[in-house]
Amino acid sequence: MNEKFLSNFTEDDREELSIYFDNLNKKIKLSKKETKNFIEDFEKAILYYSKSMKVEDILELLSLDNLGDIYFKKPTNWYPLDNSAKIYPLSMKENWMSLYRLSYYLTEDVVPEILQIALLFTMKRFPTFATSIRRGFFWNYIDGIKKRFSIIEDNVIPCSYINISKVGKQSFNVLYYKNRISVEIFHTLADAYGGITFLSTLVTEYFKLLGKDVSYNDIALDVNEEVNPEEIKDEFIDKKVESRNGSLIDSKALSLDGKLSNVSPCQIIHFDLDLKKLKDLAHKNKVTINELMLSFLFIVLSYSISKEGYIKIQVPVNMRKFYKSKTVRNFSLYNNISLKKSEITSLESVIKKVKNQSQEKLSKNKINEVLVYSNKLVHSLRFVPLFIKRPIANFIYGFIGDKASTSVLSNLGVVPLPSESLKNIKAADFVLGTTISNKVLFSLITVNDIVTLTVSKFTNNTAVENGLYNIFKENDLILRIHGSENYENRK
Amino acid sequence: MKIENDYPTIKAKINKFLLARKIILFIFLISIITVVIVNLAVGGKLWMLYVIGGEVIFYFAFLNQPLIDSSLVKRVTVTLFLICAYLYLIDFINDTEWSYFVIGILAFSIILIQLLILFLGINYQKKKLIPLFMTAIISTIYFVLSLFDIVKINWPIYVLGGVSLAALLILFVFYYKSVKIELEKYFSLK
Repeated sequence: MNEKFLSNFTEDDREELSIYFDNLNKKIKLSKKETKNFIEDFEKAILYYSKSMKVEDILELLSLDNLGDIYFKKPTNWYPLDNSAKIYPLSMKENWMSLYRLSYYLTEDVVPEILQIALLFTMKRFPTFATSIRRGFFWNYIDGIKKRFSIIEDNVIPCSYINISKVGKQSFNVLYYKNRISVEIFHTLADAYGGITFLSTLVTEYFKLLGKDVSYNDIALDVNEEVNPEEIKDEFIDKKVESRNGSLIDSKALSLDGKLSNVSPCQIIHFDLDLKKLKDLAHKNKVTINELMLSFLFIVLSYSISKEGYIKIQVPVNMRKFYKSKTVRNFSLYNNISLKKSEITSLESVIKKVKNQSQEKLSKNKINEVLVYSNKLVHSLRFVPLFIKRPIANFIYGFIGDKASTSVLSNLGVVPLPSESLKNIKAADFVLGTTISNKVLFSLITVNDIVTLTVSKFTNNTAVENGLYNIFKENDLILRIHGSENYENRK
Repeated sequence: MKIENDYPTIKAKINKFLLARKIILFIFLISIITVVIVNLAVGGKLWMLYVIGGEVIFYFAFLNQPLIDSSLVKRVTVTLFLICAYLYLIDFINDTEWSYFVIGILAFSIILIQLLILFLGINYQKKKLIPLFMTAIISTIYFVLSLFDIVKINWPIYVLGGVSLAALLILFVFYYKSVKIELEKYFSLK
């Protein structure tokens, strides 16, 4: 313990703190530097609380039982990557990896000292996140690590490359900025549902440490509960599905006009929309919100593309809709909704086509075809060494990759947070941060009756967001428009 | 359309390492083209391969950045193996026979360096046993081949055989559990 830290307390309190920190030292077995930082984390948190709480109460709130044994015991867990995750390390390049960001906007500014402790307490609940990516002879895998996980102040371009090259590096970041807590996750660890479960659990623990009322459910887990084996299960492996063989390969799609930006993404724009009005509009057109949004996107994209051909929007599908699963790992597949550009004439006709295709292509049967195909593909490649698989996958992903779609719309839907947490959260956003050739990506998330559509831009062409603005304004849906600067124009 | 900025301002940053690497690789490319043209024009021994080989070693020693699973022991192992190949290349071009001798010395040095790295930080190095294990296995195989006269035998090969067998013994006697787990993960087909 730091003498300067102790000087803030009375003699009696110092004795109590001394015992506490002795016990803390017995709970962690890390490198010297990490141990020092770990202890500093608790010192900072205790100093924060000491402004308004007695030491006795602080130490009860920061009970060391919350740490578990993940900072002491040698990690023995490791996990093969699920079938969906296997492509992500193979397709990595320097300064490029498949990342996404999820954020909650709180009602008050973030207290970083408490968020750091919340993260330390949360990690034991997510053993697949407390891992580092390793290279095997046939496949990559994730290997348990023992380290001090830390938050960082948000001062990077969203979804910037995370350096995971060294053994023991984590593949996610927890960031904070003003009243926003964000997690950026390498897709190998989890899909967006898994990611939002992690973020929701972290934020719930953070609220608990701030003395706010909390409760738990399937999306906001209790960090002190035992890890349910269902939560770390690879759901792809035991799916014996009787289905026709589908395909992951599709023909080339049209690309948005304009050049790909040098900075990736070059801008993030969030449209906060009124859920009730959007629901009413969707209901009026006899479609879901997802189908309505897809229709808007087709219209807007068609105005932003001068060539003829097919506009295709890739739609990830959460397989948990079809199969009961608690996994926080990847369990999503995708399909393309495609329309011929010349056939995009009016909103009504687009809505009809999108609805028909969604019902067909995003159905359990159709997605099962993709599941069967991807399982067969992985199975057939299992004996091929990684040093052969990797450059081929890299080439195919780069050459074909997202050229088979014009864009992506990923919809997380309504996040079913407990009501106590919702009181402390204003809104959320979900950013798809990386692409090889798509010039714009879209994502949707709904919290507290606010539907946030995020446009991740990889081009300076402004036609898309202007088109969306006009549609949303016409239908009186906009609550707020916020986002980042244009990173391409930075000095 | 007015966009309320709620992201921090980010200053433009240049990745100095990537920039330096681009410049060096460009210089390498120019040098390779030059030496190939000159060597082929002048004729004689293929000395251009000395230049190319040296640049390949430099690349793997200093410029190559594996995206996953990068470690000091791996970098040292790969670089030293490339040096062995390079020495064989020089030997082959000059039609001499010293490389078998030198490669043997280098090979057992690789194993000794790997053992040193392992022991210096044993708590953190147990997850990086694979390079040592693979080097020891390959060296043992090479030693056995030399016993059957398939490859030349000399005293460095005897030392290599001894060191590689000792390394395998150390791994299996003192770190059996770690080796077993690491091999299971490394060769997993899932």
